[in-house]
Amino acid sequence: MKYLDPVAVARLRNLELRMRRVLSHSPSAGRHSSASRGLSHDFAQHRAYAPGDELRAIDWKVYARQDRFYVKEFNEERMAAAHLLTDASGSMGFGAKWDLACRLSMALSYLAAAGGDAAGLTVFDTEPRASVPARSGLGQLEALDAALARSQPGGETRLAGVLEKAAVSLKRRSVIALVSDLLGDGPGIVAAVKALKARRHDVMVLQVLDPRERTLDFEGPVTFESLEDRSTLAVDADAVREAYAAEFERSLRLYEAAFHGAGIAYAVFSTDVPWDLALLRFLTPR
Amino acid sequence: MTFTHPSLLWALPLALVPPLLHLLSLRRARREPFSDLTLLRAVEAKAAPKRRLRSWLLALVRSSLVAALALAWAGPVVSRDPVAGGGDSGSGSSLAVLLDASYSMGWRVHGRTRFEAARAAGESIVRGLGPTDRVAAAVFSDQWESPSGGLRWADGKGEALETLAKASLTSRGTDVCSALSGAVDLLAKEDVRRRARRAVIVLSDGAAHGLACRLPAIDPAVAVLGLSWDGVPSNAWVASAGPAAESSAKAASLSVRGRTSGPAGRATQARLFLAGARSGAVGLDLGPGREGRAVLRLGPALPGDPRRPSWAGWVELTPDSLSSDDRWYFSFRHGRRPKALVLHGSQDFFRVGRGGWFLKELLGAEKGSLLGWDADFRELSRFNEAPLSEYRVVVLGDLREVPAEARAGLEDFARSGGGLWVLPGSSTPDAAFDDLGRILPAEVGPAVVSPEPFGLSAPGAAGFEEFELARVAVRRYRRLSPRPGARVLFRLASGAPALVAGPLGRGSVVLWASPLDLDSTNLGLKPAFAAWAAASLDAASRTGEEGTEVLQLRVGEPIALSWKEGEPLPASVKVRSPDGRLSQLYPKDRRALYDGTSVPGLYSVVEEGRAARQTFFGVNLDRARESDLTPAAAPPWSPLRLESLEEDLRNALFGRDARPWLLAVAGLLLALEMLLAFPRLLGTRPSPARASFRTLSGLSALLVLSCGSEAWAAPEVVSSTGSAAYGDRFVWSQLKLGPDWDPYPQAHAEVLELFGRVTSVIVWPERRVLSPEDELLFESPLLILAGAGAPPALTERQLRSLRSFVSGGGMLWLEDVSGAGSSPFDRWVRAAFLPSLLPEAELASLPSDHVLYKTFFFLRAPAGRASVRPSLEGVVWGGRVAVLYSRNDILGAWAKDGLGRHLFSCAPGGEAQRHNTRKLTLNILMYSLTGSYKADAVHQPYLLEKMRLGVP
Repeated sequence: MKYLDPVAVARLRNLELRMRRVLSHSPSAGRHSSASRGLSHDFAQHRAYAPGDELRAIDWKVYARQDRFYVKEFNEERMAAAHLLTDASGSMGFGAKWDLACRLSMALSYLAAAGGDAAGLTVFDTEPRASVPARSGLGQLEALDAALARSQPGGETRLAGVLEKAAVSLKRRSVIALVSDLLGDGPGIVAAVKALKARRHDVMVLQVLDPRERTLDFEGPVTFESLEDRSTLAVDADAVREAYAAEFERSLRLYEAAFHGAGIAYAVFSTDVPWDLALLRFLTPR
Repeated sequence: MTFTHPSLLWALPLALVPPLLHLLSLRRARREPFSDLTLLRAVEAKAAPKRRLRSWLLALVRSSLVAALALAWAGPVVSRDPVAGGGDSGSGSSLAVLLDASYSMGWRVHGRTRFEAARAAGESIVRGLGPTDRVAAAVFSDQWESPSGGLRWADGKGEALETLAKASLTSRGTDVCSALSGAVDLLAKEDVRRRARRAVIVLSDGAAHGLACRLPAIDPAVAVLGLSWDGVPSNAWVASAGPAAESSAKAASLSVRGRTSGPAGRATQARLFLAGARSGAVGLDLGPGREGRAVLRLGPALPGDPRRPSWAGWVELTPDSLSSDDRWYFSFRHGRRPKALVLHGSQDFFRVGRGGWFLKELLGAEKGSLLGWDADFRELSRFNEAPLSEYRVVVLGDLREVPAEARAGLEDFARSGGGLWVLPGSSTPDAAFDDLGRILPAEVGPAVVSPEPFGLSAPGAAGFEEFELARVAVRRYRRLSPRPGARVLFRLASGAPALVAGPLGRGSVVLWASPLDLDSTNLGLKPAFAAWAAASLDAASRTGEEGTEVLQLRVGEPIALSWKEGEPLPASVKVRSPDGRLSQLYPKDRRALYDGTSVPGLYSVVEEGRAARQTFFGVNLDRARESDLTPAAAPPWSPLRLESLEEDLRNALFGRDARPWLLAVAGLLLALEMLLAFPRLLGTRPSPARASFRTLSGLSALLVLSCGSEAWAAPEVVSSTGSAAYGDRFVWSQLKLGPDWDPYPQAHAEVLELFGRVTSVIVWPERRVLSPEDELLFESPLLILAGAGAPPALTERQLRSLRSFVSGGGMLWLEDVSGAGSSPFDRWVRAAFLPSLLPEAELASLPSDHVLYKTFFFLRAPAGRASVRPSLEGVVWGGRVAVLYSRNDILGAWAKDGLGRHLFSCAPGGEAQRHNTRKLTLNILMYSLTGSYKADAVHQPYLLEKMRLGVP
């Protein structure tokens, strides 16, 4: 697989083990909260009652037959659908942003599959370009990787419209991971992401950025060409660098404030930082 | 504006480089892909206008910076006068230096006259000239004062310096225009015109009085520079002094007129000196620009001709900064009220109705004269007892026979200038006329008695129109036949001469034809009688001796002496000038001319053989304009300030170096460039472009500094000389403490004259008056304080300054001029001054073998005008006499009056004592210069060798 090579898988296993260690101390059962936890129909075994077990878990039919209390245990329902929305607009082609976005998408897919969850993918720019329905099992990863490998960044972004369509198509409550650079209409993007959250989806936003986008690390007079609409702008990079960087940081703070307020997990992934470490920091509960 | 290196102006197009670079940098923008331009576009839209303005401003600043540096490199010179850069730049400068030696240049500030300061400035300028420069130096007043009599190019700087060094203040006025004209003519010559720079430097006080003339046309290529002085000096002077209107021989008085110029007025005192002694004083209130008048009563006349009493002396104001015009020398003589001697034969002459009665009534022995004449009446027989010199006219009334002796005396009297009026009496014999015939102006005929009286007419006398002379009746008369040369003043109606006047030697004789008795004429009863008598007396009296004769001249005007026909002509005349020079004149054509009135003062004229007849001429400065020191509103020269003489001269000759200004502008531009180029550099990584700008800025700074150092290190055109005005000459420095600090104002001149003549010490001819705090105190080894009264108490600062002087090597000479055993000055010195000046040292008598007695002359004891103390006293400090105290009035022995005579006699030793006093004075001066040199033996071999070789 192009974006999930053995090295990446090894890093993800480490990441999985480290997450499990972290999660074992966590009061919650897993990352994917379930509405019917413990009420699954997948019977596992009977076991003798022990004080503290819930009374409703006692199998009264066995008690009637054997006059002993046995508790009926089921395999808890842990499988959830993780849907990845990966931005493939032209701006994602700047630097190594697309590669990082693909790797993050595959990593999240792997973690979902390894946890028994289903993973699906939608690659979009102005419209969804490639879509892989959510399925469980590691075999799904092949399909996802293939879909990503086939896609190339290009064209403009209309993130708000794509998210609306995704929200409509995803009937079941899912975990939605948006992997994008979020460049463009900031307020529109925030509104669309909040709309997903409002549909009770578990939304996480992974903003992929190139460091030069943040600092405008160019020298002197530069004619910039937009990777989305091919428009140009001649500026003196030295002259506008500080103002640009300040403005960019301000936009990041706006995203952070808006997503945090809405209970949406949000993180910035920079191409100059190892993705696994950044992912670990992101997935570690705060 | 001109440039010393105009070829470097080719660097000016470099100023276009920054804008070009700016344009080129715009064109070289790289093309870079970028993710999204939304944010960048918003930022750019906000910052672009400001940034664009800044970039163009930066280009402009850089362009200006380069241009300023290029201009600075080219050596810009800004000159108001076109003299800079003209002509052949390699041929040097031509300077004409004109030193004003008029007496107004004697205005003194801080102990230094303007003349001294101007000369020092001139010497400084000349010394600073280069080898290719030419200079002509001359001294002027209202005429050329240089020995060469004009302005000519000097053979090197040495000659010009010598001209300036030898110059001295004169007593003349100022005529800048003539001097300037001479300089302009000199600089207009063809060979001079080719030279690079031509300038006239006028070292004058720039007072308006020197420029009240027609300025010559000045070539614009010739720079005219002149000294500028701070402030408007205030000066008070004696404008004139002469006999007052009411002055007469009996009660002479002097009218004094004082004036001031400048912003400050002055209340002062006019002191009168007669025969060298102070004879009175009067206050003069001289407001700013105002004139003050006062009248001083004069004492007895000088010994001499009692008929022409004369007064000579001077009147002076309290000296101010220009002391030369504070004194006015006057000399005048009054004609005494004319007196007539009436000789008569007998007392009958005075009976009522006789001629003598009428004369007595008129000339008034008892009631007073009705005319302006006094008269004495005396019998002819007692003629010899009469002091004829007191009389102007002798009246022979009631003529009788005149004894031969009296006749000879009368003739002598008339020939020596006296007047003789002959009135015939009724009984005058014809022989009497025969005896006098030789001296009478007419031949006298026999007496005529006319049956009808004749009236009178006055064809030869004026002022008788209002009298009815025709009603005068002359019945008896003598027929007169006027001799050649005689004139007829009155005639009878018949045409016969009635009153004839004729010359006799220096005098004249008047003859009246008729007796004055009533039986001969009724003239004595007529109103015309008094006028007739006055006309007759006037005709008989000597001419030219009436009224007042003022014997005053201006400096430079000759003393013209003349003798009338018949007047005894001396073989020679001696003229003594105030400075003691004696000149002998030999009259030619009854005239003699003395043209040596070069200094103000009283000039005495004595005719050979008539020592008692000494005539004084008062010679004064021409102060009609010269004493007014008001500076000219717009002098025709660019100012040279004394404190920045070299800089001003350099700027005037070579223009003002504009490099510092341009470099200052470049520095400002550089600072602006850095401000614009690195607005927020701190905290950010400098880009390569910024680094290049920074390099450019650094280079610019280096260029600025290098140009700056070049500018400051520009070759000095006029080198600094810093020459002291007094050079290495000995200057008589006198301390001014209190009002009586200067008991003998002229003593120093006498001392210095002898000191310079006898020793090899070069002396400064004028003294320097200092206050205790004056910095010039330390430029002289000797400081003199003389007085009789107690000076005011010294402040701590003054004491500190004097203490520094004496402890630092100076010698203070205290001179008690009172000549008394006890004086306020002595008490002040012993009780107040020395204990506070040098409390740790004592005043002690100097031993008779002290080196002071042998520093130049060998002396055995102190001397002075008086002999109050047998030894000199002194305070020994560090092995030398730091304070010398004399109580014998050494300076008093030097003092002279305006006529060159010693003011005081020396007691008890007379002139021998004065001689020793002179020697002691010179010893003191030498001691102040050489210390105990004479006590050492090191000089003995040299002296012995000198004596052996016979070197004079």
